[in-house]
Amino acid sequence: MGRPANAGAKLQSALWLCFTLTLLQTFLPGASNVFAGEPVRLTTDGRFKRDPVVVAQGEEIVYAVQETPALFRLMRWKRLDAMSEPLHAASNRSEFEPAVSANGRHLAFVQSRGNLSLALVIRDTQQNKDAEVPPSGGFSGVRSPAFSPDGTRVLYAFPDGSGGRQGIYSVSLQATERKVLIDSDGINNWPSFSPDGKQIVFSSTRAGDYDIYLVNADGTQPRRVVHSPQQDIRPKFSPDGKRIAFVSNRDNNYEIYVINTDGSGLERVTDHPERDDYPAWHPNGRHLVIVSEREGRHDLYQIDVP
Amino acid sequence: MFDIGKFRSRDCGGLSRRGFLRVGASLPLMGALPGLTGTLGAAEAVRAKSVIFVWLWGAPSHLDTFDPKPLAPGEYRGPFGTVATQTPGVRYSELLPRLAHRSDKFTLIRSHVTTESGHPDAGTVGLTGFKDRPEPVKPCFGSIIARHRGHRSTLPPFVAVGRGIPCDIVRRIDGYGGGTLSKTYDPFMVSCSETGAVEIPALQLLEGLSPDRVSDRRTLLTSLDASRHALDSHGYADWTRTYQSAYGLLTNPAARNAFDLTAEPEARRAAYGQTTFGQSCLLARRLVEAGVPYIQVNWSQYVECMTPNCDFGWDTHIYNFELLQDYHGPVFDRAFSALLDDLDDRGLLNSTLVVAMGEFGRTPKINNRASRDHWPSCYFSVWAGAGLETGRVIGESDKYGENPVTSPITPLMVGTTITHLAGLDTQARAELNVLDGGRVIDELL
Repeated sequence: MGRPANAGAKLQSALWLCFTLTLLQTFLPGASNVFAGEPVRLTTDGRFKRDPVVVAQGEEIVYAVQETPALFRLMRWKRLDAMSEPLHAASNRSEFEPAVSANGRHLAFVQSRGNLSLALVIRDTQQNKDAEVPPSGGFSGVRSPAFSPDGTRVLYAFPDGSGGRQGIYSVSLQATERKVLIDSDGINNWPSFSPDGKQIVFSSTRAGDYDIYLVNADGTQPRRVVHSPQQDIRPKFSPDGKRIAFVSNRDNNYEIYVINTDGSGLERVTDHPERDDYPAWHPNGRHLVIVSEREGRHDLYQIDVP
Repeated sequence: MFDIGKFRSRDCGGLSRRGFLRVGASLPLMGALPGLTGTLGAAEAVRAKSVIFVWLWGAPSHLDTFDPKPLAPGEYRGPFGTVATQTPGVRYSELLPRLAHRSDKFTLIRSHVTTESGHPDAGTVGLTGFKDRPEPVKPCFGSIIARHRGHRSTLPPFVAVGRGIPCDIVRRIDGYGGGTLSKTYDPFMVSCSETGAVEIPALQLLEGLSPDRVSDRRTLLTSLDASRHALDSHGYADWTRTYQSAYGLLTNPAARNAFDLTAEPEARRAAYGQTTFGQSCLLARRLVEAGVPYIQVNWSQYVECMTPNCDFGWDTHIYNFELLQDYHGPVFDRAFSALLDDLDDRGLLNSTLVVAMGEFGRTPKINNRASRDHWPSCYFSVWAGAGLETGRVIGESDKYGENPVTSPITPLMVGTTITHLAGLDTQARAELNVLDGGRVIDELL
């Protein structure tokens, strides 16, 4: 007895759908992980990495990789082909800690200039023109650049040689009009603006270990929003400005956390015996790109944020 | 196929690629060289058949690693907290959680002092026990043991894993090698990448020859003779050693295998971490297994972004706390822990002495750049294996870590103790005219 023609067509369609799904699962191993909320591995070379920044509406990631024991190189990863390429292939100087302006026109990064000597480079990628905050002589260096949301100022950390203090400064895109924004006892580092440009989040050792603080954009009214007996570092505002992602070893291993900007709602995002570090928000606010150490290898991963 | 000059390497992801093993014209010490037998007597007690000396050049901060001062004021203490160890009452910096968990596998000395405060000078003192001036430069500890043990296998008795002769901007460490014992006892230099590719950069003499061709003695001699003619008389002795070295290494599969990290299971390679230092430590363990008496692992050129042309990777005059937290702490903690575990698991730790130290410490008081400078008046070392009693702390520094409050331990005492454990008693040292005036660290033994 024959099956009705339309039933056969439905069965064929169902089988085809199953086949297609099986193929997808086979050849897109990351796809199922996306839906399951598991970390998605973005790079596979395992080399030591740091400082990812998600740009181009989430389609690209700029980060630094240790190419040799003596050279950090800036790389650009593209989601389209999941491949990385050097940002400055001809550079023979270590470059790391990239920051990209909101409109994508300006790139800031730290560049090694010799023995314990680090400059801040602010590059206009349209004009192919550099401005820089040079090392100040002797052992000296500038670190952790971050753009203001309107793209007119760059924050950075700098130990100015006065009694062990490391402050937060800002300069114009031409590396002029230097201002001291945060000057306190201890070490201040990893500044970044809130999306509305009204606040700056950073870490500070002014109370002993690294804790996370907020200040107004002019550096006034510091208040501590994250505190633990261990290290709370590398804070980053979420794209909607309501939360902060950061790294902490409060559970005796470096993991990624998020917290509301008022200090409530702490959530641990990663949980692995190896290190998770360097959180960078995806523009959609639902993902973070991080550097995870897995089996001794360091790669970029994308994780969901609860 | 295995070519001279090329070592198949595989990264931790299982992708094959080639590394390079180059055997060179300036290589000292390998193979059964006539007239280079050692002085080791058969009846002598040798607690350390092999020594792994982990040289943390640049000088790690003792306060931020193994000698934290949690009760000191902030301008000394720094931002890091402490973690409990397996040793009751002893705490390390929070940067070393794995080693804190393994404190029962080693003994810590917290009362080192040295006379020099610059890298090359202190480096020579740290590796030889003596200043480099007035000349002659004394032999380093590895060269003394190499001279004592002689050449008992195809592999050299003293291998240095790193970038070459450790150097700073101005000059190299003069005390890196054979010194008064002659260049014959200089270290056999190899380097190891983060993927485990091994390179012997001294080079080139035999590059391009395959083992099959090398095993054809006539072919090899023809090739070598061509190279020999290119050398002047001054280079002839080196050439002879090179010939022996190259021939010995290349015709002995077991010797070659010692340098091949792809023979290790992926899990073990992962345990050390995919870093240059991690894989270098794994190579050191393989060389111990192959019977090499002395391996020096140099933390070489690892101040990534900071000091591109130098080897003193722990020299954190700026951004000390960021660098230690981001890189040095986790890399060292993982690799050195894996080394101790691996040696222990294989039953090698009891017959292998493992020592880790730098040339001095760093300023207990945080400097004007929110970092730490050189401090020769107090620093640490870690000692494991060779039957030493473990889980102890020897020596004590004062409340700020500025000076020892117990008897100071000098580099000469370090060298004397290492060589003692490797089988050189007072008489043997006297016969070699080395480590004059040195005494062993009694508390350690």
